[in-house]
Amino acid sequence: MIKRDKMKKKGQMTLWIILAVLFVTALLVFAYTGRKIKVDDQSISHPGSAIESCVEEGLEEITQKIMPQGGFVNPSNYILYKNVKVEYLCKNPGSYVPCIQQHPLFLEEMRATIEDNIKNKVDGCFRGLEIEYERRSTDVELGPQQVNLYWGKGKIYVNLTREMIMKKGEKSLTVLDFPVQVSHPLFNLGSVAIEIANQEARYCHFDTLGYSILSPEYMIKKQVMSDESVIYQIQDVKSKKELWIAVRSCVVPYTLGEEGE
Amino acid sequence: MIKHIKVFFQIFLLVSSIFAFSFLLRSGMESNSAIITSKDNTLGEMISLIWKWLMPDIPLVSAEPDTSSSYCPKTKTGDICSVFLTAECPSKCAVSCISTMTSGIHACSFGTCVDTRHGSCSIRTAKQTCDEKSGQWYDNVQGTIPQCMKGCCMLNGNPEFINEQECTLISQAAGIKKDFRREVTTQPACLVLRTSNVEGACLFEKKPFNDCIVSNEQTCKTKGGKFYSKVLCSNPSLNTRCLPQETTKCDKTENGEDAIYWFDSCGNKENIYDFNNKAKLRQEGKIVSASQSCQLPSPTDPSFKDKQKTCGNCAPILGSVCGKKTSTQTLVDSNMEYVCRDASCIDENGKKRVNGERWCRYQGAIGFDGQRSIDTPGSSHFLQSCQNGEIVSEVCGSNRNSICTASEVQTSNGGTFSSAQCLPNPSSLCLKMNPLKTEEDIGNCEKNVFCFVKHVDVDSKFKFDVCVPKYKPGFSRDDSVNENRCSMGTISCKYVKVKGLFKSKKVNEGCVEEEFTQQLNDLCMSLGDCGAQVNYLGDMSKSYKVVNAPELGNSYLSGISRYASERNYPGQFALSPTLKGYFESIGYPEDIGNAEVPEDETAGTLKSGSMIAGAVGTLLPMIAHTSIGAAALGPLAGSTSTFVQIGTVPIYNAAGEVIREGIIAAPSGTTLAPYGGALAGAAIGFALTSFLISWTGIGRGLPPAATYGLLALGTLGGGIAGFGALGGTIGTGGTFGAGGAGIGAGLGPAASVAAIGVAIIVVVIIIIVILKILGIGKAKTKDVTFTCKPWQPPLGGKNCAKCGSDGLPCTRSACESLGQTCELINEGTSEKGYGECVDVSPEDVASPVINARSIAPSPYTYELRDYGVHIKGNEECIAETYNIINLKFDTNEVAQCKMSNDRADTWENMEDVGTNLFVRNHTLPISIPNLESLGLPDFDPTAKIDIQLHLFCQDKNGNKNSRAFTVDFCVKQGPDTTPPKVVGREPSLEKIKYGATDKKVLIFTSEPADCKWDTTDGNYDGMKNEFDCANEIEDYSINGFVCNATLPTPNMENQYFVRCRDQPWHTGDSAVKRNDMTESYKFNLNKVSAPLKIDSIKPVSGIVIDAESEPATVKLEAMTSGGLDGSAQCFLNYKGTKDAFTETFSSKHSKLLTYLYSGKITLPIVCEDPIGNIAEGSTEFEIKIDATPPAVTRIYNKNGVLHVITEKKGSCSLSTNDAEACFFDYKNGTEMSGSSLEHTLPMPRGKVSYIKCKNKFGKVAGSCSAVIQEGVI
Repeated sequence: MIKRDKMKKKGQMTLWIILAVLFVTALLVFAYTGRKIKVDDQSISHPGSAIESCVEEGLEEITQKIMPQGGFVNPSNYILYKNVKVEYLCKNPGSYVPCIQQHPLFLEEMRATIEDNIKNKVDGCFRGLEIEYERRSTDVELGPQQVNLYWGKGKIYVNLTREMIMKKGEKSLTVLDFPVQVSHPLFNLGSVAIEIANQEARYCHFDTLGYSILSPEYMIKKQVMSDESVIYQIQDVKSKKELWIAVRSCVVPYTLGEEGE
Repeated sequence: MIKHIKVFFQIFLLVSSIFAFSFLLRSGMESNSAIITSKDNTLGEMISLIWKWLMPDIPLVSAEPDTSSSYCPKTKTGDICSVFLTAECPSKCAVSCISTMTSGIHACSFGTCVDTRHGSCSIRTAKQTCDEKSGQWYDNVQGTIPQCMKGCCMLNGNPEFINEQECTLISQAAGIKKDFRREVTTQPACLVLRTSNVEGACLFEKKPFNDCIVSNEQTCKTKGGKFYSKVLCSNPSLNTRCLPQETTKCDKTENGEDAIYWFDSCGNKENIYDFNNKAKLRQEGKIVSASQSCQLPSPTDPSFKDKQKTCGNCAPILGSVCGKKTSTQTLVDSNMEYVCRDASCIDENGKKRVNGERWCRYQGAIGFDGQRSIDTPGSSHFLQSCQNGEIVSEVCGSNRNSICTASEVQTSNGGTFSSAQCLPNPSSLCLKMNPLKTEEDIGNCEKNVFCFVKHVDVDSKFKFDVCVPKYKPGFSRDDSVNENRCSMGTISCKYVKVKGLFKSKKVNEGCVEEEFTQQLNDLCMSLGDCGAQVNYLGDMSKSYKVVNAPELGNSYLSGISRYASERNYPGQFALSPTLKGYFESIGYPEDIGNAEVPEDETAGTLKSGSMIAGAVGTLLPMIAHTSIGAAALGPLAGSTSTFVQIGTVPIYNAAGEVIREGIIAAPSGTTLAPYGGALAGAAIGFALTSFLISWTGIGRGLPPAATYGLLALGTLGGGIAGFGALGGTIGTGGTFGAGGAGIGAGLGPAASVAAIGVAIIVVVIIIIVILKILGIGKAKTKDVTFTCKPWQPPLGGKNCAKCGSDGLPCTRSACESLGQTCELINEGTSEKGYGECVDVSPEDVASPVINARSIAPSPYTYELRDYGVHIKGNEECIAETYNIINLKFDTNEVAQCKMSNDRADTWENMEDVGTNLFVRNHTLPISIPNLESLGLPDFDPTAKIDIQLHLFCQDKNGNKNSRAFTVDFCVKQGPDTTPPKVVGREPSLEKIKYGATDKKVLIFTSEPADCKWDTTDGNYDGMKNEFDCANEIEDYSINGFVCNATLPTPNMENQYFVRCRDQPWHTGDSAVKRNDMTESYKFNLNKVSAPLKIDSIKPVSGIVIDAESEPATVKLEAMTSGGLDGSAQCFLNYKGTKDAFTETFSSKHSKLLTYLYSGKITLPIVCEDPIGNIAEGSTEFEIKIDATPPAVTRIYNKNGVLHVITEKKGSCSLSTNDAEACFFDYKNGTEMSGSSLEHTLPMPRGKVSYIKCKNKFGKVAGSCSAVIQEGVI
């Protein structure tokens, strides 16, 4: 009997400990997500990490698509290389003269491209999550979405603002902001691409090996096409991710004759 | 240590070569390199040459702006601000075109675009593009604006060479204080500022075990941890769960170099892998710097392999990088994934190349071998580099448009380190140096390391020098431009052979030897892919034609075949540097190869001697008849003072019989004695003999001695005859022997003596006739012609697949050189990154089908016949002559076509129809001959000639027509009653340059004609001066038959009258058939009234220009007047290199000089107008770089106003913010009044004043220019 009482006491203790741990966890979650989370019920899981990983996936998808294509989803002034349309960053279709910048705000154009293209993906993430919550009998209300993407050295930041209210019975959870930060070399590679375009426009030449020696974090390969366009493959050595760009500058015509244009 | 020095030297070379090359190209591109005040002449020369090459004089459609070109802001294909010919621009442009001469800022003005969001700068950006994308555009094409000036941005000890705005943004994003160092102006100088951040364990206390990350102190504090400097998280004393040395990974040392690092079980980076100190490092738990870790030597060091197993301090500078282990390269801890891999490479020759080394690779021989340029068709130059153990290959442009040049330095261990780069091939520059008229010209060619003087020396009358490229350019197959270049190697030599008495005389004998063909082929193949050559895989193609000289022999051909193999030229490389223009044709000496039939060496003697002698012989008797003459000739009359009559002279036949008696006229007065008769007879005999020798032409075939012998004999005969005729007898009063001839002694009466003389003369005549019959002196000439044609790949495409078999990328030129039907396909879609070379018509066995398409000019037409055409004019038979009929035909596939008037001719002997290229559209030019010019004597209305031409074509697979396409027509003789016309003139302008004293002019006639000119009008015969006319059918040019003359221009306005007479082949009696122009062609040449003058040049001489930084940008402007109409083309004339102004061809000329360096600069300028007036001028100015803010020289307070005096112009700002002190931002301070030397502001009271000044370019002092505290400075 005494033994049974002791066991009963032990069980109660364990239960209390578990409850305490859950309470502390809830407090920590509250402390972490701050003012923007209104917790009415712990049974509604927080969508932050799901959205984050979904956005990361979307970023990876879009960057993977644009990186070989010179940073654009639909290259308009491009050369085909390995069956990929590589956008010209700097081009002069004529001969003897340096190239003219085609995308002087290259970083901004790439940023805007990613931002534009991530919006649908982000919306898809929310819609997918909404279905998932509804499958778990949780009603979801989604507010208007605002996506701001900015980036810097080695990082892409997505500021995602969307009110997401999840209700399950009497309980509800509201989340407003979903900050996402991804390590990605695209900004750095874009900066190198600008440097290449500038040097081609100024010197008619970019020294890949020299640059790699001074900046060993990048490996740059150069492929000269038969029309003298040059494909630069800029690789981030650490992640092995590559940005391709095309340049046509100071071309000595193939036939040494008059130019067609 | 030595090794380190060596390595740094190598790196220095490498890096400096990068910048040097960039510098060269930059200088070249921006077209102002000629002004660089480099003390290095070689460099300056190179720069000027590069510039010269890069900026051709020719108005390239897409090159520099000119009056006839326009910018297209956006083409239909999406290109930005391309340049087109104004006429073509609208059809290619999606928007309105802008003339390149438009002044001021417009949509296609190039400047620098700043991305205000990210801080990046893009130079050479069109304004419109920048505006459309919401960038900030600056009218500065080189980006030398403060916003884009790079400096060193320190990011937690990691330096980045970026501009200030980028630094601000990155620092903000990283949450660190901006530390931008403007004074650091190069990337290497920035990188050496890397500082090691002291790292250590950042501990977060927890129970039972503490959490720990490795970070620097600042980061640790930010995160609320407790920082333990240089302590590892796995240090037992820190009570963490982190276990030491769990895994290894590649990471960077504090110096940014590769190394293998241990990582603890928490994922924190630990120390560099050092197997020998593994236990010690675990135990100590302290961070050890890279310099204190194990040291790995260079992979070339014998100890490397051993140390590689135990040490992870890779040191890529020495040639090892961190990478995944291999079967041969691994750590002692074999479970670890990474190792310091040997980053060197083994090149194609088995030579070890260290990481970062660059060298050249070629597809066969390169350069020249003393005789000729030897790069092979299809070959390219490749730049190879060793990058982290991998050989990266890069083609130096197509068709050797760029060449790979290298230099090697000896390393301390006896090896070599190679540095290489691709340079634009300056081949055209060499051709531009021609013609080589003077020793100086030859010297200039020889001095250029990319050119050589090709000496052609076939015979004494066939030798010349041509400046040709050492690295000849390659040509694109099937491109008609190739013909222009190769045709410069087409040249003729006239060989003359004169039959002699014992042996023939020959001129230009070498031209009919193989030597001629060899030397001309050497020249031909030095011009580019022309002539007999092998492609880069050794397939021979003989693209030349030689007429009247032997073909190239096997020995020569096998000699040039060896150029195909790179193995024959181990270790070759083109030694670094130089470069333009090619449209100018090679100017061979004008009379080269025009050998004349050799003159009779005695011709001068014969001509003058016979004339004098003839005159003497004729005049003597006449003179003797005068009293004065008789007196003068008295001594010759001997004892007999007078003669009444001469008497009769017997005339003998060849047999010595008297045919009849002649009477020597002796009208009256004194007559000559026998001696005088001898003299006269000798003179007549000499004249007669020399005339006969000249007239029959045998003299040029005789040795001089023989000619003189005949002359002597003739003279002797004449003398004896004269002597005898005047009654002289041998041994009587008139002793002939005294005359010196010494023969005839013992002969009888005077008549017999005369007969002997005549007999001698007859003998001389007979000898001359016999020699003539034997053909002595007869000259035979041969036009020996070498035709240099574009090199053609072998027929078919059986070798296409061999492209790339040498391990180098298959380029378009390589592929096309392997066969006529080889094409590079899938270049953009191939996974290899370059295309595949395939035979595009392997199954083609059909020969081309010929179809006639059109004929020109009117009134010619053609009728289709069975398989051919019949051409007719106004009548069935063509009577018009000297017209060129162009029959255009095409083939159903690209084909090479030839023509012959003999159906049985072999393919090799047939004439190309226009070109030896494979094309689809062909033009057969048919020249209608004049039958009289062909030798049909008189006009015969029924005379006609039927002519048949047979056309054959073959396709690229070698499928030839077995049946000829026949072109037939008949030519009938028609009386030519039409006078010739002058159809053109050169110069076309009437105005000629100021002060000209004469002018070389050309006129063009409608048919072969002789032309004359005079300053007064009149008929052809009355005109005094002749034109030199080229009347052979092959002389016909597109403008007509050409005649030239030099006209004197004594007056300001000069008028000349020109008349021509056709059918120059009519001489003698038939000359009446020739037609004269009935009206003169008026040719005016008017001198301009004033010379061309450079009125002004800006910057004006003597001024000092302040510039913000080097290189500085200055706009050079010039104004011209006078000459034709004030307009001209101006150039910078720098050391003989003419650098055209960007805006010129009018009276205003300008050029932006963007690469000026500080110091005194002299710019010589030369301007030339279209009629040859030249004006020269120069300007000399100084450039001073104002890169520092103005220093404060004096400060004082006057009536409560603070006065700050600076040493140079600028502006100042004052701050009283003690918190920022001297670190305040200039723009946050209060701007003081005055932008000159004096700056004022009410004196702040009771505060410390911090003053910063900036120069006119915005260069602000980093710290305070001055600090004032309560009156204390």
